Amino acid sequence: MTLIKVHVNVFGRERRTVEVKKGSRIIDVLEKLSLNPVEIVVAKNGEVVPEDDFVSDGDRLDLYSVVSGG
Amino acid sequence: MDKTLACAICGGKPAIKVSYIDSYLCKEHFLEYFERRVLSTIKYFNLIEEGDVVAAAVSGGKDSLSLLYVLKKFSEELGYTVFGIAVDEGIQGYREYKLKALKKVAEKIGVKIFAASFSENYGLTLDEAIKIAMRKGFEYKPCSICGVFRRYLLNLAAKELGADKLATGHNLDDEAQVFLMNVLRGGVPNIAREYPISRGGHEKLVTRIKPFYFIPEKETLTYALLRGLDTPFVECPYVKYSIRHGIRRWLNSREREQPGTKYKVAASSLLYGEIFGKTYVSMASLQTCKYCGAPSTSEICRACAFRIYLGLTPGTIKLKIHEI
Repeated sequence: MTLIKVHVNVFGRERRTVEVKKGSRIIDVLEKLSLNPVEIVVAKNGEVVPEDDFVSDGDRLDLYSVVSGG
Repeated sequence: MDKTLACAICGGKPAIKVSYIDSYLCKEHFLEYFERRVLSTIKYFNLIEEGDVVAAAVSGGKDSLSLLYVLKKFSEELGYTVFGIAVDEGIQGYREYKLKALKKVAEKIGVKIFAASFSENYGLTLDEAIKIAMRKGFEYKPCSICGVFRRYLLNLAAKELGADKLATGHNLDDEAQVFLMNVLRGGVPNIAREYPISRGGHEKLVTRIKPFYFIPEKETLTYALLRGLDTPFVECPYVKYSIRHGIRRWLNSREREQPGTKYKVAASSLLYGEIFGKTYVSMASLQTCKYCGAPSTSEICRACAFRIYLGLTPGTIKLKIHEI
């Protein structure tokens, strides 16, 4: 099983590198971080994308929290 | 990219999955879909009339930045004018960053913003108020004090600046959460009061409108990002104290399992508002606060009651506001 690395900026507070199987989607990365996609908007390599989009090795994900308090 | 990952309208690269209609939309078609629903809400509920002066309550967060942008965009077509009112509660490490973002967006789209602060108008910041509340046993949570003080100042400012309507960025998530909270509290009059436009007017109350009533919170953030309406990565430090926080998480987990849940909850809220609205609004006889003269459901309005609780002097506020 080939693993790939995805670099995640979690709400501007924390930077994580997440390992997922090749062919995974963003939703799988969110799952690993215990995050609900209803509460997150994701930009992949700077572009806003749906959570069902696929990830490739070395991709950068910026996670934006919907729950920000206004 | 997977073939199934395509905009439902043009087949282009999608920016968002709109789960409750089981479709992906590209940037262009999502922006159009978003704006069309806001415009429909404004027209269907007659939120804004030609010639109105609309004050948008703006915080610098994603909801209010999107609101300001959309209201400005429709202003020519619908024939109204719009400006923003910001309230600086005095939350260190939070509000100053949001206000900077707001100023930038307002300049970009050409809308005037007026700001009023808790410290200049009430004599203390929210941070200071919370310290006092904590010493007194934390009987009132930060969001209660903040919400009452903020709404009071927004109404006062909107009135003094000549607004006919006060628009807020309340979205579908807010409406669904508030409805559930009111159900849990057994607050039928509050349930009946919630509506896209406030009813049962008073000469000192500016009519409040909610153009984002049918827009999920995730979409207001997506809209802000796609429109380049930058808001900083900061979270209100008091959000964890809000009882709404738990309801929000629960509702979002339900939404994940069954997309469209929030719409169903909001539909119930709207139905209650339709059925009981007129009855409760006509029954609710507004009194005048004995300290400040503001309309109130009791002898002392909540803003004056909180000021007394915090050791401040209640009474009329001579509004201090300035353009930013």
